[in-house]
Amino acid sequence: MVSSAFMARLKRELEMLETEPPPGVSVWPKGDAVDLLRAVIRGSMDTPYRDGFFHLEISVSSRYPFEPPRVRFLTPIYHPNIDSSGRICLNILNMPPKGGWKPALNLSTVLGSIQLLLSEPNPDDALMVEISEQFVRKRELFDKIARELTLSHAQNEVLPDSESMPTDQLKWKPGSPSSSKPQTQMEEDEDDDGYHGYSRKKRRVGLSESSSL
Amino acid sequence: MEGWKTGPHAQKMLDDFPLLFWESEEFCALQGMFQIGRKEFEIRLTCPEGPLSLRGASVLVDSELELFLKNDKWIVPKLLNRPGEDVHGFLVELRELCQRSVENQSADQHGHLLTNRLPTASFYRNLLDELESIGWASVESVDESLTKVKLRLVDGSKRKHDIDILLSAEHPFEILKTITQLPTALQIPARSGDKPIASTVRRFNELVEKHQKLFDVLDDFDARTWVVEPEHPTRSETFRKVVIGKFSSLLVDLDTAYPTGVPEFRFFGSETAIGPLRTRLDEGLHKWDSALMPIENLEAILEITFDTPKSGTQAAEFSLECGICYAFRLEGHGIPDVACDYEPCSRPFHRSCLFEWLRSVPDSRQSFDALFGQCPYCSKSISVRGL
Repeated sequence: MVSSAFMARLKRELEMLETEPPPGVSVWPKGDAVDLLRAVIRGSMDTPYRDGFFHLEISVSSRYPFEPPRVRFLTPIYHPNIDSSGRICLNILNMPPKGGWKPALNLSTVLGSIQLLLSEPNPDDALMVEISEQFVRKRELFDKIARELTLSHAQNEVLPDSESMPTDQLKWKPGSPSSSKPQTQMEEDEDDDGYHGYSRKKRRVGLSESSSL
Repeated sequence: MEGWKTGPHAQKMLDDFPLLFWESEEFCALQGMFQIGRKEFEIRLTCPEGPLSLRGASVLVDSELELFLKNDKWIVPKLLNRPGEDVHGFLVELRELCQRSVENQSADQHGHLLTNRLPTASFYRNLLDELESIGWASVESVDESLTKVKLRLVDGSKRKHDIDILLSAEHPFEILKTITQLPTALQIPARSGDKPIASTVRRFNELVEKHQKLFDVLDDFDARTWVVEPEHPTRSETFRKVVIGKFSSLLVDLDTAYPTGVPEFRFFGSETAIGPLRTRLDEGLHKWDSALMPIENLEAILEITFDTPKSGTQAAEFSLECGICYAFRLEGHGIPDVACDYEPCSRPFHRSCLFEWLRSVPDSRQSFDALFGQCPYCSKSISVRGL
């Protein structure tokens, strides 16, 4: 029962995504399996993510659509609701009663919601407390860092085969000694209170062992 | 014995068993072919005391007949020892016994043994003669072994009708087997004359003619409505499930004998959508006019207009797919059979899909075999019974 519903639906969804993809989103199956997909969301024009290509991995369990798809970012992104390993804090990606997934939603609406989340972060339900605080209190600084990260890490229209996010994530972390381009740019802001604040808190919650601060 | 030769008994023997002859003028041994139905078996009977007595008589049969008699062989000596019986009486009894055995066993291996025999030359000659007389234009296909012939007839309305004729090696002595796609069964007479295929085709033609009105009505449905079931209608299916609005459909089952009369109805969809239609049908049924096509009657009584699926957008608007698996016909689960009762939503679901979803969410309540929860689309209450 589950698998026949799963196959019928996924096939139909892939057809729909191919013929009528949500604006600014592309989806395709990764390899031959239909249950592992890749997607790219283009950052919206009026956000610090503009001109960026954000790659996502979507994995669909055989319980789908009775369970939500699992989605994570492969491209590093500076966002209150997305953590350093790409996990997304979004209501509809969880089962009720905590979450709001229902079979009326689909991959297209999920990706649309993620795109909307990039335009309108939800600081009240933050995954990254520091980024969230910065987003609320020091919006200019938040925009600046998010913009720089977009320019330095989200420029690949095509993602190389190796999945970048899990291993590369520390590179862009503020204060990381081994950091590359975004690091230097961030270092210029070192005197800024907001930046320090972010790094300190970050260290406190133990997300960045290699932080220099 | 000389007198016997011209007597009534000898005449009976000749009439009933023409292929058996006496070996000598003493009339104490009889041999030849023993006919049972269309089959012939070799037999030899000895009757030392002449044709009018069975004292000391014995009978030999060939192996094929012995196979047929396998279970009833013990009866034969009893028949031979019946007092007062003569040779003719015995042969009549034996023939009846064999016929019974053949009938009983026609389905098992012995019947098989006979029917799988390679056809004789006369079989092919007969078949070709018959097809010639029917006309090669109506022969659609013939299989390699010449045992399955597909004939195609075109009726007055240019509708095509196929009949498959399955021939056994016993043709033309056996009743034909046919496969047709007609709403009623084709009756084939046991004795169909010397041209059984032609007479079967004639009957097929008559049956097709008889159902012309029914085909007209069904074609009318297929052309002017959106038929969702049967998926690929054949001439044997006399029902149509047609779309009558957003998420609702109507199943019309026609009377084969009276196709323009009032058919049987079943509505599908949410109660809010189909309730008023059902009421209109109940109240307006007396206005049904058998002189009109059922579609016209339905449109007048239900106050609706049937639609055909012309474009993709229209199809999406009606959207009869299950809201959970996105399939209309899900293997093993049929077509969506429950719908949200909230009219603006009216989403259809497969019972099994909705059940599985409500089972997956913690805020659904169960009461006996029914689950109560929220419609995944509009969040209004919805319930589904167990499977």
